[in-house]
Amino acid sequence: MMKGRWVWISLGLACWAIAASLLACYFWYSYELYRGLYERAMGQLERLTVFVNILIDYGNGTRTWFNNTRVSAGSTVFDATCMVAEVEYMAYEGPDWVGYPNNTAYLVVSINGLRNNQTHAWFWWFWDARAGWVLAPYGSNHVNATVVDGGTYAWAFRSFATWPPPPP
Amino acid sequence: MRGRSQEACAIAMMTAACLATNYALIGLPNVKLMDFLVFASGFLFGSWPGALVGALTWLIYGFLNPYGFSLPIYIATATSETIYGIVGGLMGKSGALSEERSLARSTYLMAALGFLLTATYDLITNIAFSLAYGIPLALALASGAVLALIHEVSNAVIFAACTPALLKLPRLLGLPPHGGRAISKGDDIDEGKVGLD
Repeated sequence: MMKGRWVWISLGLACWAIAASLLACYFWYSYELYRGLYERAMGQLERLTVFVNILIDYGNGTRTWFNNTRVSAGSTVFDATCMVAEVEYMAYEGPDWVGYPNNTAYLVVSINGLRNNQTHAWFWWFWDARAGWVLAPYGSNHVNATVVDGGTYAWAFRSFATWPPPPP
Repeated sequence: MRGRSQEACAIAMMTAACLATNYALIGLPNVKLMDFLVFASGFLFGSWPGALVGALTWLIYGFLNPYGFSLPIYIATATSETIYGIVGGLMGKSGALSEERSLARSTYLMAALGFLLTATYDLITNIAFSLAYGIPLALALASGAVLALIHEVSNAVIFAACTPALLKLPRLLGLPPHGGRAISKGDDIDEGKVGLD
């Protein structure tokens, strides 16, 4: 009688084991499928994007780094900054603004709520391995301000009193 | 000879029933009454007729299949479908399933049988699929896991739900109590039994 009962229980357990194994197989398959899709999408994304490091120096001792920020290849420093901060700007359009998209240069007037004033403004630098911080001689949306993979860029809120303004 | 002709008739009718239900349920992938009907054929008429019903059904359904035709899968399904008929015949002969036994016990046994036989069938067809298309077996099993589970659970439910009717059928058809060949008036049987004719 005891033996018969175990046979019945074993039958049920065998069914349960098969069902559980099939479910495990299904989840493993789904996991592998979506992992493959994710890796393929990441591969495509990596071909279309670059990583940059962005520093925002508020001039009062507060400095915020945004390291390894993924931005679209071909982005400018302005575009990259807009991805990590709230940016307000003024557009200057005209035939003289050569090298800017649609001959329109952007002047950054505020980053994360800190606005330019009579004495201070936002300036940006790029990092050069030999020269260190280099104050950019063009606007942040200029074609020459196109970010490069692994590039490091800084914005700093500085006084006009001294020129060039001190780097970050 | 009459017994043989009745057997042939029963095989043809059960095959027709399998085909009709298969085409009727074409919209529900892997939910089929066929497997139970093949099992019932084996249970009622013996392993050999049961296996024939399974093979013949696939011979037609596998060839005229809206989902397409593939020779290796065709051979695998036609062959493995016979296990329902063979096991049905063995169960009929063993007397493990009969009206005299507890209905709950028989229903449980049928559900488990439906599930396990279907798992075996799915395993064989997945192996055939993997060999035919050069896909790793683990991948073939994993990619078909949900369909296999639907097949197995639905068959367990169908087998269990049809158990009361299946247990009554041998008596209603006048078949020997533990399955076997269809009987006729000409056969050497106990008095009082009624044949299929």
